[in-house]
Amino acid sequence: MSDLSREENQRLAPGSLALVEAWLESQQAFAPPVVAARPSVDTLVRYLAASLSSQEVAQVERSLVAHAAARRNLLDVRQDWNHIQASSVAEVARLARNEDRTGQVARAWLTLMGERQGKMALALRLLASHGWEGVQRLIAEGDAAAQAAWTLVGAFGGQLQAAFKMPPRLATAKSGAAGLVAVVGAPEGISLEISEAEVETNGALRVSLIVQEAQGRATEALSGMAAHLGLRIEEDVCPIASGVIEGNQIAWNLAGLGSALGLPEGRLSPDYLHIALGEAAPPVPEKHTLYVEVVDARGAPTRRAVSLELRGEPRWEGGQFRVDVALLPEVRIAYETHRLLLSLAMTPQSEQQIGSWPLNEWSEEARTLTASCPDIPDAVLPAVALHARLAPAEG
Amino acid sequence: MADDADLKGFLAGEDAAFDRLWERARRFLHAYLKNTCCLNSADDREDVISAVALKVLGARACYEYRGIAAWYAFVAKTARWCCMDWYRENGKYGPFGEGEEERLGVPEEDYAPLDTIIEDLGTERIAEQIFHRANVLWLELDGALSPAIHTRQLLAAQYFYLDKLSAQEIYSALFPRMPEEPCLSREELDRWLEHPGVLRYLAYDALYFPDNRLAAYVLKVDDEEELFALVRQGQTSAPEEAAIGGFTWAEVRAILWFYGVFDQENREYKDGRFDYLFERLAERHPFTNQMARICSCLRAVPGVDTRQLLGKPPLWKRLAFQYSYYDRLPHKAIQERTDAAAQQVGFAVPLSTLNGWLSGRKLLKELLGGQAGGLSDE
Repeated sequence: MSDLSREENQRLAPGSLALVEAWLESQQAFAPPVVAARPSVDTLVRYLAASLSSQEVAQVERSLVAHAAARRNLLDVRQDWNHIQASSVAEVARLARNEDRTGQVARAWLTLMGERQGKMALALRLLASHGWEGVQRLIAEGDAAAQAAWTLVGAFGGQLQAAFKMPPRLATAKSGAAGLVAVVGAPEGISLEISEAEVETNGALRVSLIVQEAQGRATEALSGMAAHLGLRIEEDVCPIASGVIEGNQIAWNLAGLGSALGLPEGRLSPDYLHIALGEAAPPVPEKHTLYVEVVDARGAPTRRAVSLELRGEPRWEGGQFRVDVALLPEVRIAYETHRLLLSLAMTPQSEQQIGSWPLNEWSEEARTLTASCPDIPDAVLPAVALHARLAPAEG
Repeated sequence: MADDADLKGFLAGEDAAFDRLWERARRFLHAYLKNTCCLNSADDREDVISAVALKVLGARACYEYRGIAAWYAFVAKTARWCCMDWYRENGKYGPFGEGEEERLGVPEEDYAPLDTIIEDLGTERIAEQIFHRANVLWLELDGALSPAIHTRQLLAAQYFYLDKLSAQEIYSALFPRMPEEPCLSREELDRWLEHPGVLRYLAYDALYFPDNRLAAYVLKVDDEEELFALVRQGQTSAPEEAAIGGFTWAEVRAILWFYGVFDQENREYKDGRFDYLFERLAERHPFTNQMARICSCLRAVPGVDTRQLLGKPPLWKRLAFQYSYYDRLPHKAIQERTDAAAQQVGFAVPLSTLNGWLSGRKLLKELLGGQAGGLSDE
C-alpha cells in the first residue's frame, strides 16, 4: 500500500489539488470495492472448505459483508456441510439426489471431492518439485493440486500428532542414534545430525543439519550437494523442501509449515525427518503404517493411539472406495468392541467420512474395505490421506 | 508507469503513444472540466477537449519533458484557456475571473509531490488503495493490515453484533484458513470485535447508503440483485397494479427514477404528479433506525461510549467523502443521509459543516496528507 502521507502533500496548492482530484476521478479511484453477486451454494461450500484462491475468498467475504441474506445462507450451508461430512459417502451420494439445499450442498461437496481425490496423487510430486514454499504460492492462486498438497501436509500433521501418542518403542523406531536423521543417498561413513528442528511461535518450522563423519566431526564432504527434506512416518515420506549443503551444514526456515501440520510450538524429534541426498529418491513402500487415534463414545480423542497396516494404496475404482487393511492381533484383541472409522482428508480443515467397520470382523488376514459412491472418479490416493479412528461400537 | 512511457513516446513522435496518452488525458479532462470549469454537459466538454487536443499536438515540437505531473498541469492549463474561449464563443460567463491562476494554477514546486502521488497510486488497484487509505484515516482501522483483513474484521463484527453469533462460533468455523495467512487466534478475534476502528467500520457500513442501496431499502428488497429484478419487472407491469411495499408499479418506477436507478431521461416524473410520494420518501429512510441498531449492539461492548466512538467528525467525514467523491451527491443530499443519524450520537452534520469539509478539497487534502484534521468536535 502506498504511503501518501508525506509532508509536502499537506502543502499542495489549490490548483494542484484540483489536478490530482481530476486525475483520481479519471482513474475511478473513489469507487468502493466491487461487490460480487450473492455467492452460490457451490461457492460457499468451496469457501468453507478453503478451496478458493485468496482473491476469490476476498470476493466472497466482500459479498457476505454486503448481503445479510448471503450470511444467513452461509450458516445454513455450513450446517448441511457439517452433517454431510459426518455421513458415510454412500449417504452423501443419496443426499446429492435431493433437489433441496442439502442436495445442492452434497452435490457441490461431491464435485469438490472428485476434483480433490483426482489431485491427491499429484500432490506429493508437487511438494517434491515445488517444496512447501512453492506450494503456498500456488495455493494463493487457487491451484487445485497445491490445495491437495496442503491437505496432505495437514493429514501428515494429523499422523504426527497420533504418532506422539504411540508408545515410545514404536514412535522412534527407525533413526538409530539420537539426533541423527534418516538419510538416503549418503556416502558410507557420513551422517546428518540435527542441530535444530523446531516449530517456532510464528508457526514456522526451522530445521538445521550438520554433516558429520563417523567419529562425529563436522565435514564439508557433501558441500554443494542437493538435499531434500521430508517429513517421515514409518515408511512414508512427505517432501517439503530442497536446498544445497553449504560447507558442513544446511538449514531451512519454512514459514507456516508448523501451523499447517497443526504442531504446537517446540522441538520436533529427528525421527520424523527424512533427508534424500542428490538424486536419491525416497523408497516407494508396498505397505503403509497408519496411526489410529482411539476416540471415546462421543468422538473425543483419548490419549491412546494404535497402528494398522495398509497393503497398497487406498483407491477409488468404478465408483467404489477400496483399501486393504491388516490389524495386529493385540489391537484386534484390545479393541474387540470397537469399530474402525475411516475418513478421507479433503482440506486441512475438513474430511469426509467413508464408513465404519467393526474390529471383531477381522481375522489375521488383511481385509478389503469398500464403500460405494458412484460420483467419485477413479483415483489412487496417498495412504496418509486416510484418517483412521477407533471408536466404541454403537449400542 | 504507462503514462510516463507514453509521454516520452509522444514527444519522440510516436502516434500510438499519443493515442494511449490522450485516451487517459481525455478522461482526466472530463473530470477536470466538470469539477473546476463548471462544464456539466459531456457534449460541451467534448468540444473543449477537441480544441485542447489540437493545441497539445501543435505544441509537441517545443514541449519539454518534465515528468507526468507537469504534463497534466500543461494539459489542464491548455484546457482552461480553451474553456475560456468556449465560454466567450457561446456567449456565456465562465467561472474565470481575477486570481484564476492562483486558484487553479499548478506551481512548479508541486510537480515533484504530484509525480510521487501519481506514481505511488498509479501502479495498480488504485481504488482499493484510496478506499483503504480513507478507512485507515477516518475510521482508524489498523493501517498495517490489508484491505482483505479489514473486510474480514467487518464480517466478524457483522456476525457478532448484527447476526448475534458467538465469538466461539465465528472463530471455530466461519473463516477458511489460508496457509499464507497467520492463523487467527481467539484472542485476536476478541480484539477485533472491540477495536474502535472495526466498530466504526461496522457503523460506516450500516450507515452508507448510495442511491441503489437506499432505493432497495425504501422498496423493502434485500439488495441490488432484487432491485434490478424489480426494475425488469416494473418495465412490463401495468402501472396501476400493486407492486411492493404498498406501492403501485407506477410509484415503484417513480421511486427508482428519484434515486437515479433508471429511467433518468424520463421527464414525466418532474411534472409534479409524484411529489406527494417524493416528499414522504425521507420518512422511509433507514438512517436513524440503522444508528439506533448499531448503538444498541455496541452497548454490549464493555467500555464503549457510542458518543465518544461515533459522535466525532472522522466517521462523518468518511461518509461525506464517499458520498461526495464517489456518489457525487450534492451537499444537501449528504446532509440528509448523515445529519439525523449523527444527532443520535451527539454530533451534527449541518450544511455549514459539510461546506467547510468539502469546499477547497479539504477532505482530499487530509487524505493525501494522511492526517484526519483533528478529532475535536468542529
